[in-house]
Amino acid sequence: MEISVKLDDLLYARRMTLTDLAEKVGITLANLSILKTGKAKAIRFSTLAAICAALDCQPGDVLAFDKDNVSVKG
Amino acid sequence: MPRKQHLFVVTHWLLKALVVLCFVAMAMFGLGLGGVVVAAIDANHLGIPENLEGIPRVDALSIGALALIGILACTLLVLFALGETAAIVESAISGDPFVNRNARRLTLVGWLLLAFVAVQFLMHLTINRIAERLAAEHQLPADAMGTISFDSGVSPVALLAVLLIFVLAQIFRHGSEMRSELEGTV
Repeated sequence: MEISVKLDDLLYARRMTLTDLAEKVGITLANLSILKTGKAKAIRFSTLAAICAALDCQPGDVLAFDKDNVSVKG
Repeated sequence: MPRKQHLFVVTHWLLKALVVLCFVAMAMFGLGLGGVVVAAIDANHLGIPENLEGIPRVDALSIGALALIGILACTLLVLFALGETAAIVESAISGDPFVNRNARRLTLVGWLLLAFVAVQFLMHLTINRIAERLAAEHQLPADAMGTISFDSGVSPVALLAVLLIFVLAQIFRHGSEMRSELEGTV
């Protein structure tokens, strides 16, 4: 997918585990794991806002656009 | 159990009962067809007269066999359509009806009902043609033709129902796509 999730880097920088983040954000570890591994098809603004609040960052720090991996939908 | 679940359960039972009825009807029509075939093979032994109310025996038996084959085909199509519909209702009972498989099932039901309408139309056309030919050939009275006429033309309501089923299948397909997208939303 052309959008990649940089949760790993953010968690490492903040010395946090995925479980800690799941507790802070209030979503299940399974869903957060889906997001981290890039298997999620979409992310709600509320989830993104909660992650940004928990990690004290901006949405652009969590998500990145990879232009070499673009799949055009008709 | 919520009220909508009651509706699904009752519908499921009704569909299952109709499936059983279809099997019984098919057995009866099959026996009828067998009877017509036996009558055609062994007509003289069975004492069937050459003329049945002015219609030659061979023609009368042909019309009977044709009608029974058509009815058997229609019943078989309805049986498959009922089975697929029962499977859709079953998935609704289990709480997960918006899946791609149900969209495919609905499309199949649409095609089966369209085939039903086509068979009905062909039967109507063929048997009426034979009846008209017989009436002309044997100079039968007008009421004699009425007795062998198979009057079940295509109803516009049936065609509308088929169209609605195809539309519903498309909606189901869209719904299942939305559902799968929602499942991947975090």
